[in-house]
Order: sequence, then C-alpha cells, then structure tokens
Amino acid sequence: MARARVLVVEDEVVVALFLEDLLTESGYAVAGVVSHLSDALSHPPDYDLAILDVHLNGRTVFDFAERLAARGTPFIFATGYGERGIPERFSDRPVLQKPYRPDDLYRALARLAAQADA
Amino acid sequence: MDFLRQGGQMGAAMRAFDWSATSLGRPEGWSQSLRTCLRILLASRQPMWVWWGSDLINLYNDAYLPIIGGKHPAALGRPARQVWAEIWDQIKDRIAAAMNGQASYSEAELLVMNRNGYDEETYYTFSFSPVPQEDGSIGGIVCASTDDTDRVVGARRLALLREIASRTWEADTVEDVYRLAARALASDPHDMPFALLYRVAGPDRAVLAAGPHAGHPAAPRQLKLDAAAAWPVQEVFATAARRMVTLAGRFGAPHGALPRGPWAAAPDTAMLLPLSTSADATPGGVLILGVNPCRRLGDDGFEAFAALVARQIALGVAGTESFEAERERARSADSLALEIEHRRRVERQQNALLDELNHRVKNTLATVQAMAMQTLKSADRPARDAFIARLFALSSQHDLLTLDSWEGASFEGVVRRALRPWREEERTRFTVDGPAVHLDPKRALALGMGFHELATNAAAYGALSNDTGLVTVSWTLDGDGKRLKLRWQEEGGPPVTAPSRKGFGLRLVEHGLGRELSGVVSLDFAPGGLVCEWVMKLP
Repeated sequence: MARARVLVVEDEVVVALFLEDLLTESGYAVAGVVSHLSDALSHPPDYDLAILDVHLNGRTVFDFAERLAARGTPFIFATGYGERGIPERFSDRPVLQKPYRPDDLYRALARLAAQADA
Repeated sequence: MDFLRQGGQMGAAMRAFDWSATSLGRPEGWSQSLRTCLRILLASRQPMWVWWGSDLINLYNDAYLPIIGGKHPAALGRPARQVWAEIWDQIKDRIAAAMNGQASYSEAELLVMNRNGYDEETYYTFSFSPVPQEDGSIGGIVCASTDDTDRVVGARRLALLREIASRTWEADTVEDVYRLAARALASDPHDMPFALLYRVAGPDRAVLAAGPHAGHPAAPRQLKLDAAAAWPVQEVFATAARRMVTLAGRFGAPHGALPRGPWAAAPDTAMLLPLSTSADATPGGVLILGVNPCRRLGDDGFEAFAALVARQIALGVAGTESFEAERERARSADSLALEIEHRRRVERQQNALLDELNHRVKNTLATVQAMAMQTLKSADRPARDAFIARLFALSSQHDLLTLDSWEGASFEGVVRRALRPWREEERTRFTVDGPAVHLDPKRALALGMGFHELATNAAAYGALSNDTGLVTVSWTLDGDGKRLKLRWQEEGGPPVTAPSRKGFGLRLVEHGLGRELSGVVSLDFAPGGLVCEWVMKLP
C-alpha cells in the first residue's frame, strides 16, 4: 500500500513543523501544511487524511470539515478546547486533545487509514 | 271674585280663606295688579307664588303644593317671612330688591327648607319679579320656580361614583384604593358628611384604611370584630348586609363633633355597608358613612346610592387584587426569568472565557511540547520523556480544573488524574482514600505536579518499578477542616536506599511544593518503601 497522504491544517507553526516530523518519521506523506481556512478550502484534494486544528487564526475549521465529510475524506480534530468545542454533528469524529502524545496521534491516524482503505 | 274662580284646589282654598284677617283685606278690595297675577298663577301649571303687600302675604297655586309641602295649608295667607323663616336670610336681599323694582333669577340654588318636619336639602331655579301697581309702586312679587333637587342630587351622586371609579382605577394596591376612595368621598361631602373605610386585617380586627378623620372617637385606628367595638362591623361582616346606626349618644354627648360637611348639623344616622362585589362574597372591608342629615332616608334613593358607592370601592379593591396578583405573578416570573437569563449569560461568558483561556494554555503547551521535541531530538531519550511526562501532567491537571470551571478540584480527582499514566488495567497498584476535600486551583495544580513526581520516582526506583509494589495515598482533615494531612506510602517495591542526590522531582516535592502550599513535607526513605507526608493549611 502506498503511503497515506496527510493534510496538516494548523496555524501554530512550531506545532505544524512538529506534526510534519511526527508524520514523516512514522511513514506518512505530508500532502501539505496550511494555516488558514481559505488555504485549506482551496487546497487540491490530493490527500487521504487530514489533521484539523479547530481554531485557525480566529476562525473555526468546521466549514472545511463539512467538505471533507461530504467528500468522504477521514479527518482528526486537534484542539485545545477539548470535545466541548466540537459541534454535535461531528461528535463521531476523533478528537485529539492538545497537547497530545505522539502515540495518541499514531493510533488515531492508523484507525483513519483503516477507514480510508475500507 | 272671578279671578279666584279657577285654580283647582288652591283656587278653592283662596276663595274659602278669610282674608279679612290679613293685611290684604277682603278680595273685593284687591288691586287689579294682584288680581291679574292671581289669575295667571291659578291658571298656570308652573309652580308659582305671589307675595303681596308690605307683609308679603303668601299665595300659591296647585303646582306649588309639593314645594311648600307640610307648610300647607298654614302657609296660605301668612307673611312669607314667617312661612320661610329658615331661608329668609338667604333670600331677603333679593326680596328687598324685587320690592324695589329689581327682578332676579336664581338657578338651582340650594335652599335648606324645613317643610316636612326636618331640614331638607332642596335645589330650585326661581325668579323674583316685581309686580307694579297702577300708581307705579311695587305691590308685590311673583315667583315661578322649578324644582331641581332630583337633577342636582342625581348628578352629584353620579359624579361622586365616577370620581371614586376614576380615582381607584389608577390605584396600584388595595391600600391605594381605600385611600383614593376616601379622598373621592371627601371631595363631595353633601351626601356623606363623613366616610370611614375599614379594611379586614385578620380574623378579629379591621383597621382604618383611610383616615381623613383619624383621631376622632368615631374613627379608631382599629376595630375589634366584636360586640364591644365602636361600630358594629362584626354584624356587617357576619351578614354581609348594610346596617343603620343611630349616632345620638354613641360617641359621647357631642356627636355634633362629627364632621358635618356643608350642613348646619352633623349626621344623626350612620350607615355601615360591606365592601364586597357580590352578595355572597366575603367582605374585605366596611364603609361607614354619615348620612346626609338633610335628606330623608328611604325616599330619595340614598340607600341605593350608598350601595353603589360601596360596590364601586369593592370593585376597585377586587380589580387591584387581581391586578396585584397578576402583577406579582408577572413580577416573580419576570425576575426569575431575568435571574436565570442573567446567570446563563454570566455562565456563558465565564465558560467562553475559560474555554478561551484553556485553549490558549493547551495550545501553548502543545507548542512547548513541539519545541521540546525538536530541541531535545538529539538529547537522551529519558530526559526528553521526563520532560514530556511533566508537561502532560500539567496539562492533565489543567483539564481537571477546566472541567470544574477553574473553581478548583476535588483532592481525590487530582490524585487519580496524576496517577493515571501508571495505572494498569489488570491490577490495582494504587489505593486512594480519604475524606472529600475541595482544592483551590493553585493547590490542585501544585499537588497534581507533586503526585506526578512521586509516581515518576516510584516508577523509576520504587514500588512501581517492579510487578509487586503498591502505593497507598491517604489523607485526613483536622483543625475544623482547615488542615490537610496526606501520606504517600510505597510498599512491595525493591529495597529503598536514600539517594545520594535528590533529583529535580523529589526536590520539587520536598521544597518547592512545601513552600508553595505553605506546608511541611517530609520524605522518609524507609527500607520498606518511601513515605512522604505533607501537612498543609487549607484556606
């Protein structure tokens, strides 16, 4: 199987870099790193999974999440708010509470990749 | 005597009258002017009289009989001054003027006549017209009058009812209704020279609700609902029916000291009326009114009027009570809704603020974590892991506080959360037991970090470093719940030896937290297992 391509949506540059490292170190390909909602929306859909920071420079990522859901692209929320900040309609989506351990991220990604393959 | 030929009853009376005993003398000698006047008078359906000669001898027609009342027949042929002694002072100037050739016209004038054995309030519109004789002198006065009494009294009563209704309409409270009704009643004391309003204030008493006459013996501030009370209100409440009371002697000799209104005499009768909107409703109060002494009871609708007054006041009270009840409901519902809404808003704001704060803290921690991982990539792995573990301990305790909206956390929650990374699914390594203690955020965070360090140390060297060790965390409260004593005890681990040099974690526990929590920390490296005891004051 080809390496799963992951889109990183994260506005904190250090965290984004760290995430990039974590992903590449564990065999994922990074399709792109964006820090604005508009960039996320206009990004070509050349990725299999996405990691979505909920709050992007004062805006929420939910519009983009809707689009991914409609398209059938699996995604993970990463947020400092915890699950309380996630709308009801996304309640079945995995949420990583920041800061999260690399292992938590890998587990969540593995589950998503399994979904994407199936 | 053809000028007395017609005229019904009065014509006959005049013909039969012995005029020779009067200053007019026998009718045969009466002047043409007088004859003409009498001819007109006796033919008229308008109440009329003629006062003639220097004595103003009184002659009147059939239509005038109801006006002169009980004074007839004695009034015929008598000097007007004697007939109308009670009103003479009031009209004498106009009489004199008329005898001087000057006519007058008076409209709806109050004349308190005593024609039926009592002073009676009457209203007349009348004109005094001088009657000149052949020689140009004034022989007498002819008067046509109209009885306005019913019209005036009726209009006055209607106005008073309207006044009560319009004033009490604006009332907000029952007290206001009574007060405003009393003020309305006082605005026209003709029918009710005094009026007292008592409001039921318990099973055994009524209180003076409106006190224009407070202090008067007839207006005590309180009325017991018993037979000995100044007014027999008990009976009124019991029967819900009005009652007449004779005032003479009731309040000592001078019942004349009672308010008289516009009248020369005080009321001699009072009427007590229940204040209720219907016959079967329990009266909420009683109206005590002095009856206009210048009206005869029973013949002019006074009682019906008094009943309407009482009903109008009762309606005002009822309206206010339902309004009050309604408004009270509205007010309490409103204030409750406002209170709830206010709390919700404050809570929302607080939650939003805490969410925002937490979000920033968490993102900052995530950033710190990322920086540490990058920076420590080449450093030794244990150091990196220890750092990350500490970071997560802090983050985890932070979550606990966030759950409680930063109002603090339970001690047990802090302990369990701190030990969570070392929890094993197959067996219980920890015993956590103690009374409920609430920790403020500062102590919760500090203790959380402390337990993290103790657990880290235990995992490296103590009870959590083998498969058999156990950790017991217990605590007690004393000194009125102001002193927390807690104990971390390890057992079953490898034999303990005191370290030659304490690491950062234990130093943090021993000194840092001791200082931060204004407490005392003792670390005992007992061979069977590490014992750490903290004593701290709670706020």
